[in-house]
Amino acid sequence: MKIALITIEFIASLALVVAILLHSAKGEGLGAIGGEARLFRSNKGLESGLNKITGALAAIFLLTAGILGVFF
Amino acid sequence: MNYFFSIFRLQDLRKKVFFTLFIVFLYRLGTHIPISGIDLASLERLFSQGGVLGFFNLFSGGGLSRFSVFALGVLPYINASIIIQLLTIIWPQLKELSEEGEFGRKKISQYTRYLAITIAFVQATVMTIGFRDFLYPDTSFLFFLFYSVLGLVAGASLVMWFGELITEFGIGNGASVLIFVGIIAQMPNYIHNTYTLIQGGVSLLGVFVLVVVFLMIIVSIIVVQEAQRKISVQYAKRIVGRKLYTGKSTYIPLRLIQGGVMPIIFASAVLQFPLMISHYTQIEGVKNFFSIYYRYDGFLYNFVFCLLIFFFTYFYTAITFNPQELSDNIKKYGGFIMGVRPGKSTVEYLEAIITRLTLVGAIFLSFLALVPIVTANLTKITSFMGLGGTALLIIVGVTLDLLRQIDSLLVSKKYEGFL
Repeated sequence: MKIALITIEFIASLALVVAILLHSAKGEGLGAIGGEARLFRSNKGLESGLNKITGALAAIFLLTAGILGVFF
Repeated sequence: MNYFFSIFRLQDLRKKVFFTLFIVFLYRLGTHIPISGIDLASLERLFSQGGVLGFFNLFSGGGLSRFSVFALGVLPYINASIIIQLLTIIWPQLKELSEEGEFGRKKISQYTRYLAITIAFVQATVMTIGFRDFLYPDTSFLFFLFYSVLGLVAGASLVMWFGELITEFGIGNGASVLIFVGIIAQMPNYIHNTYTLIQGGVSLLGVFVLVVVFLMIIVSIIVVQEAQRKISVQYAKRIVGRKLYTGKSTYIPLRLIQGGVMPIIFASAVLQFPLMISHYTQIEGVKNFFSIYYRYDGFLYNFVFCLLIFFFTYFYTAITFNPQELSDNIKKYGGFIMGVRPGKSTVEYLEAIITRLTLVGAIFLSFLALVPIVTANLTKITSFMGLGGTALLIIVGVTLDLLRQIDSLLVSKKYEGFL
């Protein structure tokens, strides 16, 4: 059980990092805390699909990490 | 109160607010999910001693003391931003790219993200090795190293993504909102520690003084953040198409602190590098040097802090404020600053003004960073030591920023605003 969960977490976290890096940059990062953050136009269709995948991976990652952290 | 409800009356704004709250909720949830294998009870004891790790813990919203998946917080991303922005000035290729308009800036942002993941990887490795003493005895270290580094890096990238989501769909600048939430979440701890000190026999008068000082700092931060120098500009009469614009006099507002809270965040992030090295190093001499001289209430630490604040205030103004561009724009629309010729002398005039403004701003920011430490030393109430002026500045700055954004959304829908 534990080994299965750890394997899932490994795969999910690797995929998560890759998915997040695939996103194009959204804003100017910390560009301006005291002002406006400039937004970039991005490919909407592609991004929203990627957002869903990233969200799902994030959920899997947090869930497995949570179960492992609390019960093991 | 009416203003408050108008947030919920506007569907657009309501969506943004709830989305931000949702992400913040997920972020807080994540800081409570630990990476399994570490003996949390003894780790908690290490943090309750205070010291160098307190700052990292503050920036990660308490995630570090629980060794959670979000233990690194937004710090890798902030560090990456600092490094990339410094490189943009030094490195010709990057400088060229940054002047290429949207495409170039987008590329640079992407480099920042890659660098953030790389930094997260290094920090995660160093941190896991640093915490190896807290491992449960029956776990193999090599396996844990692999497991924890991957978890921490994934967590750090997730936090970065959260920040970007808030910037895109929510309210405010994501990364600063996340730092803000982390600091707020640590507040109950600080208040609790103060309460323990009171029970331990610290005078109530001291607490009162501290509260008054903090309130005064908050007020002065607001005043200075809003302060601006008005430069009056006279526009000539001109005809565009069939319309006639009569000459009029307006002003350009120049903010006292162009970078807002950014210089403080940058300065405190850089200030922690030596602390991190000293914490994880094995060389006795280096360790001793830092533990004696480089302390929150020590002279060297605060001196370096002030120097860094000065450096980053000027640095940030230099990045964001371009006198040449401003002067060209005024000229393009047929305007001039009263008593100054257009062209080169306007640029020089603007430069002189911004240099003086920034000097005042930098002095004020370093003053703010020092006051809480001095007061804490005088009143002997040391429970807020790690929090200090830095955190106050960030809290107030981000709140002002949020209000301003809500306000501009409200104004565009013709509601009365907060500010």
